Amino acid sequence: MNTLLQLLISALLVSSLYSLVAVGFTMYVGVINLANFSHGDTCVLGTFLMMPIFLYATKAGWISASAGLMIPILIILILLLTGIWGAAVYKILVKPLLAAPRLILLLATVAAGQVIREGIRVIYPNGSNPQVFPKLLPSGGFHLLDITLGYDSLTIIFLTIVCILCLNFIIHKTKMGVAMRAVSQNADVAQMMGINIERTIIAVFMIGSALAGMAGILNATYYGITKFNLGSNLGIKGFSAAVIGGLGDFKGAIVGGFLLGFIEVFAAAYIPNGSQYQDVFSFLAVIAFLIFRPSGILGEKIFEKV
Amino acid sequence: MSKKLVLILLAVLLTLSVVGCGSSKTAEKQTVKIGFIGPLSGGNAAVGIGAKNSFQLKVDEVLAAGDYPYNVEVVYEDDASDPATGVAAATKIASDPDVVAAATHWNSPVGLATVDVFHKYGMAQVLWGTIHRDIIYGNDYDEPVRVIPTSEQSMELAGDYAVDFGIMKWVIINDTSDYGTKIRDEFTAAMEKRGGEILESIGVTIGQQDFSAVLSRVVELDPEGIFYAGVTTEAAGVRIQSMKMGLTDVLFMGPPGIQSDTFGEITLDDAEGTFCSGTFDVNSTEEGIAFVEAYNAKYTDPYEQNGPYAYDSAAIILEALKEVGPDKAKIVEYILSHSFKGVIGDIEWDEYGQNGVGGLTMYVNQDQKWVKYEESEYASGERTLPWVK
Repeated sequence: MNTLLQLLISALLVSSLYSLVAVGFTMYVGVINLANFSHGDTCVLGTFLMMPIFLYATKAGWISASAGLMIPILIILILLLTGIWGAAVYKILVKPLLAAPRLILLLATVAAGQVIREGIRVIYPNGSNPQVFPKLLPSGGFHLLDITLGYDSLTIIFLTIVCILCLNFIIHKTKMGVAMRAVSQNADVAQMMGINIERTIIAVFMIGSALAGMAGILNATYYGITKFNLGSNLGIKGFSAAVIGGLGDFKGAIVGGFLLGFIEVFAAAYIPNGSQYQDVFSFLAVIAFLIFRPSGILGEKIFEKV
Repeated sequence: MSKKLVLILLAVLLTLSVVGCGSSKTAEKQTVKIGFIGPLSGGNAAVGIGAKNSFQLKVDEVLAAGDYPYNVEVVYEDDASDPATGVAAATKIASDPDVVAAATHWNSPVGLATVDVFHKYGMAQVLWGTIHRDIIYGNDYDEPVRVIPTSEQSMELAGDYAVDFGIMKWVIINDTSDYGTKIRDEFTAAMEKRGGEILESIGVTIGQQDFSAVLSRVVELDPEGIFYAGVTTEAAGVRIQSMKMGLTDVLFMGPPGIQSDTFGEITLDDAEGTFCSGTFDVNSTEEGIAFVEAYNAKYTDPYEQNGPYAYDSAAIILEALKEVGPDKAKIVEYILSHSFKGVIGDIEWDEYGQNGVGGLTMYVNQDQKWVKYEESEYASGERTLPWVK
């Protein structure tokens, strides 16, 4: 029973991180029908932006003086920076290729991911090696029903819920959200109704990249480590979760992230030698969904798959 | 007049040519190349760079003495801890007619993959970092010799300490590489021989980040010790997450693969009181201390645990080259038939080309550094190990 509870907590944590990546991923598909394969690397970019800034803030004495306030400020700063990066990717890379076949655009995003990865490796000091990521979340934990609940795990789950609620608010309660949904359904009609398409797409890229930055920071601070090439794995997991949820479906991405996380953790725990094959189980689930339910788990809308 | 001028010119030319010949003969020694392969990029680059610098240090010291009969140039290749990259690097070095011998590898899967390449080209391969038993004992080749002890010797040491500590019920978490599985098998054998019990062995993959499912199982099994059979990055992840899961009073131990300062840098306070059945303690001999001083005077990157072995590998290759000349076959024969004196002590091969125990040492992590257990504050009683009841 205790093991089951502990596994549930672990699965919730892993699932939260996957959902956060998947939600960002699915936004691009939902609004402009583009699978942005640089999304996972944008997560890692967030971590490599955070490290020097955190170091500077620590040296300047800001962190020790007011850690409770400074760390959220630093995280918001990184979200802004990754958001600006997303806007730049749109302006420089995506916009000139919007009229090109989607496959070309998809390859361009793969290249953007490669630029981030190799850029970090070459520019960041000792960039090929794993980097120790600062602990930004409260350490320690408490025992409940004979299981250990870490403050950091709980904070990550809480922050994921906050991010998803904020995103839900933006999509459903703001003018920009209405514009996004309109562009997602029919860009031409939306434009005729006076919606600024470019501004809407830029917002999608900014929000998507900021979510990636958040996911990257939470992932790195929990595991205590980041590395230039971690993005490929995160990106693939986010993409898989989005596929399970139905590409382009916001709620589906969250459900997909949770399903993927639970499959991984429980397969590793309950299938003999499952831990070494946990990725295999999650990708089998993705293949099964692609074959038997390509519209995703919630199955409301069928998007063209990349 | 003109005849006299011609004669003078001829004399001058003759004098110049004689002087020229003489000077070129004394100054130009034959240049010979030797090779070095290690993980110079990727997750294990710190170890590779430390070994590379140590290798170069020995070469520079020998050449600086002035009486070495050859100019030696080192060809460095990166295996990136990847067997395929390692085979490409080994083929490049072994097929180069100017290279006469090489010191190679930290990762056992890479060593297992390249040992055939060096045999095919008949080139001496001095292994400075790989500890998988089969690289030396799995073939009857003359080319590979190994200065570092085998994983089997290292796991015997781990078994001895486990018994001393009274920790007999273990769970092994191993990565699924050749290195991880070999260490798992050898630690299992070492413990079973001593009456210990391996409750379960659980495999994980290299690059895996989340070990919560594995550790939930460990919590259920309630062992006295966790042995991580693998390398630093994943070991650090397992350690951090095991502490989060409340496995605070369990002995955590690993093989030489985790004996890097990076382990303490990643795990911070969680590193405290963890153990590593590691390699040579460089501060235990005068030669070792001299090596550290010379190294630190020249380099800022740490020499890591394999620096002394790489340094001695260079010494072995250079001595063989000096004695028998740049002949690959003769160098192989010379190395295998001689013993050497290195910073790690006397290097004597068995019939397969394996050095003896080479200063195996048990380390404990104290203030995020690996410290020889006997010299630690844990052994002196100033600090208490978390698992001591």
